[in-house]
Amino acid sequence: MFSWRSQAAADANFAEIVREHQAMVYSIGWHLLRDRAVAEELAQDVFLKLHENWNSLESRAHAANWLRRAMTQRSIDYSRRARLRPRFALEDVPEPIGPACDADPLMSEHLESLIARLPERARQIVVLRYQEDLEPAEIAQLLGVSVGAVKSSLHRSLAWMRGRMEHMGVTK
Amino acid sequence: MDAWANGAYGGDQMSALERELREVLQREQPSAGFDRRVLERAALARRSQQRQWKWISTAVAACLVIGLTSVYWQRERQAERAQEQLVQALQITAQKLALVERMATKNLTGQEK
Repeated sequence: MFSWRSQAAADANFAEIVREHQAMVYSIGWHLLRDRAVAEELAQDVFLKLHENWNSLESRAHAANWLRRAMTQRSIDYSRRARLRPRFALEDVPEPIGPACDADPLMSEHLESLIARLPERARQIVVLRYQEDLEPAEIAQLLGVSVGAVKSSLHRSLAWMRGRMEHMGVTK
Repeated sequence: MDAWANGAYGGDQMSALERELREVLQREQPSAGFDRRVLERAALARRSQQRQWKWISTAVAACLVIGLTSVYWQRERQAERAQEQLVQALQITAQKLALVERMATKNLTGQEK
C-alpha cells in the first residue's frame, strides 16, 4: 500500500495521510499541552518522522496508530522537558477552523480548566479516552500501563471533576 | 456486566459529564495551511537528504580514487626500485665477471711464460 514505486505516488499518499489525520494529531497536542503553537510544531515534527519511517508502515490503520502513539509520546516528552504549566492565553492564538463546540460555554470553560489541572498521566488518559474514543485496553497499551491503572485513573479523574463542578455549581 | 461498558461511575450525571468531556475534547483542525507547511518541510527534508547522499557518494568516490591512485603509484615505485636493483645487480655481476676474466687471462699468460 505504502510503496515507493514512484516518488509522486508516495508524495500523494503522504499528503492524503496528513490531511486525514492532522486534526487528530494536532488535537492530542493541544489538549495535552494547551499551547496551539507548540501543538502545531510537534504535530509537524511527528508527520515528518512519519515521512522518514514511511517504508515501515503497513496500512492506513497502522499509520493512524503510529501517529497517535508518536504524538502522545512527543507531548509527554515536551511537557516533561519544559515542565509546562497549562496556559490559557487563548486570545493570543489564531482561532481554530474546526467546528464550533455547541456545549454550554460556561461548563466547557470550567471543564477545560479542570482537564488542564489534572496530573499529566490522568490528563493523557482523559484525552485519549474522550478525544480519541479509545478503550481502556487501547489506552493501557499506548501508554504502557495496566488496564486497571487506566480505569482507576479515569474513575478518579471523573469523580474529581464532577466534585469540582458541583462545588462550583456548574453541573447540568 | 462490565461496569465500564455499562457507563457506571455515577449514573446519569456522570454520563452527562462524559458527554460534555467528549464535546470539550472534540478534535480541532490546526491553523490553515498546516498540511501545506508539513508537505513543504517533508520535501525540503527529502531534498536535503538527497543532497547529503550526493555529498557522501562524491566523498566516497573521491576517497576511492585517491586510494587506488596511491596504491598504483606505490606499486609503480616498487617496480622501479626493483628494476634499479636488478640493473645494479647485473652491473655488479658484469664487473665481477670482467675482473675474473682479467685475472684468468693474467694467470694463463703467466703460465705460458
